[in-house]
Amino acid sequence: MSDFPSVDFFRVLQRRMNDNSDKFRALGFTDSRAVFAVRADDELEDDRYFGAVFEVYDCTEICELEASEVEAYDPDWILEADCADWREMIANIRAEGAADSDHTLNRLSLLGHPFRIHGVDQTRVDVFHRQQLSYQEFFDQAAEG
Amino acid sequence: MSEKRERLRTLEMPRLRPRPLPPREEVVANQSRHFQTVKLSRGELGHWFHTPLDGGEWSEWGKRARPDAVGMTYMAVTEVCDRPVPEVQAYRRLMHSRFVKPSPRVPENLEERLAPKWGGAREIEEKYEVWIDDAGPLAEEALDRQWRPALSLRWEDMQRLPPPLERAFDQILTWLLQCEYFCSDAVGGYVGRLHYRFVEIKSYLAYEIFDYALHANALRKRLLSNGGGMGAQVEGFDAGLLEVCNEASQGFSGEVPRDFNAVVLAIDVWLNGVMLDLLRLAAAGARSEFDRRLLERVMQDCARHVSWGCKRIGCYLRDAPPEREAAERLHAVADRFEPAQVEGHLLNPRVLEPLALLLGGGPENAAAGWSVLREFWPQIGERWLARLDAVGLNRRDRCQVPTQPPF
Repeated sequence: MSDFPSVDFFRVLQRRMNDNSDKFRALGFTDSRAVFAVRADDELEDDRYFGAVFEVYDCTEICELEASEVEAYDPDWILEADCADWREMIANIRAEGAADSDHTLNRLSLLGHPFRIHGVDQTRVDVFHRQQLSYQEFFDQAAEG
Repeated sequence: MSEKRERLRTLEMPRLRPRPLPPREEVVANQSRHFQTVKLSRGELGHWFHTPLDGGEWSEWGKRARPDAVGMTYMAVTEVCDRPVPEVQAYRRLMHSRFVKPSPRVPENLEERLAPKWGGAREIEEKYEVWIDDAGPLAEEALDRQWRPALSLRWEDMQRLPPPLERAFDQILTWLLQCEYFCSDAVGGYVGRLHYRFVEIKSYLAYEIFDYALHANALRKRLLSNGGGMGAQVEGFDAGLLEVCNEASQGFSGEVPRDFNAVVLAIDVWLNGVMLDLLRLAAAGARSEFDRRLLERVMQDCARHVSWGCKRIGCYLRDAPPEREAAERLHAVADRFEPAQVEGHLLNPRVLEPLALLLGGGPENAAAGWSVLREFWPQIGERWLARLDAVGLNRRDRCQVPTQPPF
């Protein structure tokens, strides 16, 4: 699995989602534009941003964005955390086969706020909550291989 | 007869007096002479088969909708439909929808008698009262994300919890169960009062009511299967909302308008929003994977109900005629329930104390749970206001939900 953070890492998740359509079909269809924001910290020199488009049971686009391009990308929701917190979540998924109860997107975005889920329009951010099992499963694909 | 017995007696259903029936032979003879029987006996296909496919009573002949990426959805059908969205004007006939042409044999003076304005599906027939943009996709999402408690969860993986945590989890589920029943009853009365031409909305609302029943099903099963039980009744969870919903429906009697949008604001935007936020906390504090997955399923559905509510209120504010004073009416509704609802949920010990226990991991560490609750608490009111901002109802100067926890 490619190193995090990189566009290749997210493309692997994209490919695994698209190759496992039955799993995602069982959860229900998706429809959102997302940005994954990785904040600079001791482990990362500069902030990095990755755009993703989820349509029906597929992830149809993954790209890296400059900070100045995020607004124009028009994301419904932005999932944001320091690089170390992203890496801890991914390491947990790899170790456990899927996020354990301490590392779900919901818990990480509530308790102590290592992650934030936000956007310019709360009604568009709500799409994340509406379809969050699919987005959790998207990241749980990091466990494979 | 005792006073109590007398009171019960007077509440009994009135007895139906059987009407004298004609002899069976006469009924059979009348049926065999009935004009429809005569037509059927001729063996000729009737008007439905001969009405012109173009310009007659038939409509949409030759349309071939194709499944989209999800399947045969409302969106796929709408793609080929002559009337993809309902017209603005109301229709006096129930069946005059985007799909069925009205029979020309029904004269106008009969329409009102066949489908009276009050007491059925013509009560709410104006587009601005009901319709949302993207109605089809939301209805299909509700259908596509439906789950089955008996099958979608691995009940065999349920884990025993220490008694204080089982008790805390069960208390939250008991609160949630009461909310589910209340939402179902508050919204349920409207399905039969929406005009058929809003078929996607009627579908969506039916699915939402199904969600509530499904949640109640799953929660009851969890409460009675892990060594716990039903928790203590949460009083006041419906405070303010019950009055708003009763005034909006006017008891569903009489020839008076029903304020559907007041109920949507109260139940979908507010109450489901509170349920969503508190469920997120409960899921984050859940001690077993099974419990977390159960609550995550419910959370998704609550979030969809909130989205429906926001879309509906947004369209209502955009499309309602000025004389409806939509914004002021909605503000007045929110004024009525906000303070009572804060007390009913956000300051209710029977809701917050079990959450603090779950978030802290037990009674001995409840202080940590309270710390999380205090930190999260302001976000609940903030999200309520942010949603209202997004749909065009700014009540930041009027809102009575405190910005900081008073505990």
